[in-house]
Amino acid sequence: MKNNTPSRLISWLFRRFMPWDEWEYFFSALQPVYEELYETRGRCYARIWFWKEWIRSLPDFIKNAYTGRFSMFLNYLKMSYRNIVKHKGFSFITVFGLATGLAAFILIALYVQFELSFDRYHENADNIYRMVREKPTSESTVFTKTAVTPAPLGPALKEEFPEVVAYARLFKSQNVLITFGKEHFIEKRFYWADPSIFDIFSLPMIKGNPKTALDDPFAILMSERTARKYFGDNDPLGKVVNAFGGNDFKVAGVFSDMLANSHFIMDVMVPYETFFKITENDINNWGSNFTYTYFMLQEGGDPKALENKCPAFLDKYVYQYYDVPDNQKNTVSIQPLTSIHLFSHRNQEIEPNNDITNIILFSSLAVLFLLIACINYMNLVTARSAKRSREVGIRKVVGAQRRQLIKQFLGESVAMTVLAMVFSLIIVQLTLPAFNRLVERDLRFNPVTSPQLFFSLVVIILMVGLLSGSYPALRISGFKPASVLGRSTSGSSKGLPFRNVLVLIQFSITIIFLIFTFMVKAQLNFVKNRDMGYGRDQILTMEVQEREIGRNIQAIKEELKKHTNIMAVSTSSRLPNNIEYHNNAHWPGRPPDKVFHIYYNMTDYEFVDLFDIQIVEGRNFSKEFPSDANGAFLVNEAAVKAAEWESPIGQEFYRYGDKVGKIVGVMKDFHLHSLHRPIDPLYIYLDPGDFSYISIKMKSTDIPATIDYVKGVMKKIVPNCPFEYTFFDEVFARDYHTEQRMSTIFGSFAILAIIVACLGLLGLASYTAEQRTKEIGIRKVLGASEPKIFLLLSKEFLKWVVLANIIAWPIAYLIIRQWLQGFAYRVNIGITIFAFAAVMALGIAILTVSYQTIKAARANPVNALKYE
Amino acid sequence: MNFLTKQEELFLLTIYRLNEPAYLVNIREHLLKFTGKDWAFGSLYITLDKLYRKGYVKTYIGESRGSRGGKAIKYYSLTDEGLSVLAKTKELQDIMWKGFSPLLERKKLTNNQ
Repeated sequence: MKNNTPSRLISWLFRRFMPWDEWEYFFSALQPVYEELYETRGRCYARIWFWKEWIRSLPDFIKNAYTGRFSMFLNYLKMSYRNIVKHKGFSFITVFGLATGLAAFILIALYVQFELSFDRYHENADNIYRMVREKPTSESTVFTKTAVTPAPLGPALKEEFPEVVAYARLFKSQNVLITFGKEHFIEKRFYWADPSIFDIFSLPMIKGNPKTALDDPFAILMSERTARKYFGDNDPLGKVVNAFGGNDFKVAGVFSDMLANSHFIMDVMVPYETFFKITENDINNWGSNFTYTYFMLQEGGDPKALENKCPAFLDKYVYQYYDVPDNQKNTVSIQPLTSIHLFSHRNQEIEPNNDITNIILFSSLAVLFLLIACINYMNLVTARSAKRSREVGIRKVVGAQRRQLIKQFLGESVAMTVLAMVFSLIIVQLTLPAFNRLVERDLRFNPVTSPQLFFSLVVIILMVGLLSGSYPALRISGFKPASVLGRSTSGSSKGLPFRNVLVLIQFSITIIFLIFTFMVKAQLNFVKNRDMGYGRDQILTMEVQEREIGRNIQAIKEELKKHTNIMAVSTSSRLPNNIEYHNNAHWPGRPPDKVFHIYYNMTDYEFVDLFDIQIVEGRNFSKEFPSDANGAFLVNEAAVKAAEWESPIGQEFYRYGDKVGKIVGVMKDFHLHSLHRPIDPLYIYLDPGDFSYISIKMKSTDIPATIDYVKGVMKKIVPNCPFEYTFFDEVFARDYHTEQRMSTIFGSFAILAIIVACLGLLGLASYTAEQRTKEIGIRKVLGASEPKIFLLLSKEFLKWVVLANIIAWPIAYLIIRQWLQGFAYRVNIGITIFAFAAVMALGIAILTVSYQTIKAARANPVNALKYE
Repeated sequence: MNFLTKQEELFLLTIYRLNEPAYLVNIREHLLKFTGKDWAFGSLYITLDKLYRKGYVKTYIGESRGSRGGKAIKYYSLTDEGLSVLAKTKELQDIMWKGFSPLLERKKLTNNQ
């Protein structure tokens, strides 16, 4: 054939609107005209002519194509509507199941999206990095990873590397008392920051000039909400506040509140270098680490290359002046800003970070829920397919093609999903506050104002609709008309195994959730009931930073003890549940190979008694022994064991490795950390002046009055210090906050999984009952009793639930064993939890199917048998 | 009776009046000549197909009469039903148009004023 035929595209376009053979004739008729044009006017003209023909025909083509189909579409709509209305209960279950799954998916997606968005709002986010430090431990192969770095690191970086465009150092002072006039506030997010912070991060200023705001050493910047707290509607600029031990700071600017998706949030900012002036610290000291060093690379800068140059850089700036063996040198590494929130788990992080594994876990759960919801929908729709087989049969007989039927069922499925989506949006709106409390975020949901979200919702609807409708659509459309029309019931047992597998999977997942939730609860109970080695009831604690309290502590103590309901008052540098400070243990005559970490706590005389810590050997600190005041230690059994002392009492010991004192007693081991960690060696040193906490043990009678009294005493003696307190058992509970939350989250997931799985089972049960109507009728006529039939039908489903248990148990066992690894002290994984979950799953399954099975068992056999 | 649209009427008349077997190309030429309207081939096909489905037109496959010839194309001719519907349409139109003389009417209208 000569190359004078129209392009393939245009023939394809024509063929969209006519059957294949018609096109052949059509084109043959046109060909002479086309060829003539081709020869007289050229190929290009001929082709354009052909296109023009198509375009001009298009209105007629379209009109023709849709006149027939539209009526068909109306018919589909009508059938769907009738089907929904006819089986109201069934339709409700179907839509509700999908809506629950979708709602769970949307909620989790919101959360994951938020977590992934951390710090990305900064304009330079991709070029901002944080430098962090690894410090070798005594084992020298193990490194302690910390987020803090020395103060001179930032300037040195800028000086040494041209690719470092800017650096900003900052660090946080916790609980800073700020006074404005007669008002006192404790600021928890008080930051010392370099002025360059505005060059690196996107922090819009509302008042003041970001370029110069931090230039004055005694300037102070506040976030919008903080400024409002102090000054109300007055102009904050130029106001003078008093902070950090009597220094006056002048407000030089107000910045807009930092977004919640930042890995640190500042409320108050003061110049970084001022800290060193006030405290007379050396800003060039490479040995003290408390600074977070952020820096910005030039566009396209390679952080890896920079990191590789760092060991030489540190040698040049630090180690050439010291004689440090290579394996004792600190090393640094570089973290991209956007990865800090999810990937950085270092000591001394600015604020607690999240973990990427959580995000992965949550995302997979979201997909899982969506999948379960789809499976359920498939399950329910296929189960009902028998009911619709006759419709399909008729449609086929009158000439419907399989493709049309598939389209019809897919369309119906999408319509159902849209309906479910509407429901799920309502569910999301209703449950979002509770969900926010659960994940401790302030998530918002508004599909209208964020087109991105709206678009993804539409995609999800289509995907879920097509995905969940595909199986039933393919199956139902494949029915043979002769077989579905021939007999009144179409017992196609072919689909049964698949449906059962679906139920099996759902129940397995449910059971895993149940077991895990029970296990977390059991571990939490174990924590709650375990004897930690110290008392934690009716103890009020105050975290104190102010020097004023330190100066007046003797007076405060005496005044407090006057109240009859106050049994004891003690000061300590840490509370017994979480003793974080440690150094290397040292004592005169220590064998050089005996190296271990020992934790320490400074206390007064009352500490041991107040917290009911047992002394197993020797005695507590006592004022009857004046020598105690010159240096006395209590150690725990773990320390004795680690040091291998035969007679610890009277043993000399070094505090921080310098000041010597004698060990006067041995404490029974108590859990100085949460149960995640084993009991480590510990010493307690008598130093009533060094403390961060005041603990007050009270009688249980009339606690509010006692608290009022404490408040009165504090107001009287240290009027400038705000009074804030917590109960020690709350402080204690904070250590297990993650687990507590996890238990709630997984509890909710378990409930969700149960709902969804039950819906699936219900669908299956109603289907089976329907299918076996006649069989049941015959059995009854032949004398089977109702309970027997009930049992017969129930057995069918329970079989699958039992099987689901068998599948779920090993998986659940592995998961909880892994989870419990995180605890040094943990409950035994008992069979009872598994058994309990199994019984629960079985019970729920029986309840779910019983309505259908009882109905089937009690039905009058006459009704079942009369249509034959 | 079934009413024909003007377009259908024109198409049926064209097929009737063509002296040669009617197919897409000569139907279009004829229509262009008498009505001045140039139908697209696709539109022609759709309308003819509609007429076929209504039973006014029958088709048969024959060889192309183009210069190169030899290819199978579809020809259209009227069915009895098509003929009778044309006849009925003409009859109806004759009755409806009878006595219509626009010139006379105009005179009457002006006189009345």
